[in-house]
Amino acid sequence: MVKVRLFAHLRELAGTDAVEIPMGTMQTTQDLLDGLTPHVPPALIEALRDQSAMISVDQRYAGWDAPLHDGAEVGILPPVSGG
Amino acid sequence: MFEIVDSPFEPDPYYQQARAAAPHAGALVMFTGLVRDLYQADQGEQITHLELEHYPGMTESICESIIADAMQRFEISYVQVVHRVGKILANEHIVLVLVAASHRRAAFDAAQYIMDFLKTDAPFWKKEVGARGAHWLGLKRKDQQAAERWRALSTNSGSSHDKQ
Repeated sequence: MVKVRLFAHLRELAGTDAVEIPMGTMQTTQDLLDGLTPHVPPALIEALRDQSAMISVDQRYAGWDAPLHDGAEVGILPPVSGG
Repeated sequence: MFEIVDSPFEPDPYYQQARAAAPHAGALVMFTGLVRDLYQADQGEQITHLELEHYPGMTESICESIIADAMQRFEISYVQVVHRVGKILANEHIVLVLVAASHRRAAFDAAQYIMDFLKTDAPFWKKEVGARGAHWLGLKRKDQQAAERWRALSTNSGSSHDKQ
């Protein structure tokens, strides 16, 4: 399983802060994005289309081609606004 | 030296702590960011408060990495960063950056460097809440440019907290 963490408006659109997705044949973060549709509301998929979200794997920033492993924690992070 | 707090804080104890921790410092720069008394004139709406969310665990590691990069890059002896989360009212502090050094230039530069990367890399999200609703804020272009300026100046191959 891969645990997907969601934040800010993406969390609100999903109605949850985390989704667990079976590893299946996923190999990269892009595979995860492509396979999200059955697991989250359509509004979240729509929000991810503008590609402004960043991604993290095991709490480190990663690219969309980063390798995944069983048990990974993947964060889908909207543009940040701290400070 | 990074701390997340979920209730209002005052800078004074952190300043005193820095004085004690860096007794030989010749310069101490303290920046505090506050919630402005927000009024959206174009929408005629008073913002009542901010809600600040973060990614526990990742926030700490990114911010500690930014601080470590600053310690390596500038001749500074002490850094303390405090960031608020949760519900924050107007005039309350959101962030504090405190840097001690022998000389002012390094202290000013390091404080600016830390703030610039906190803005672009630390996984915090702000929501403005008003009487008519709420909306999430995104990264501002000028904040992105500020961090890019440091990256362009860097002679190193890259900072450890850099996004890919």
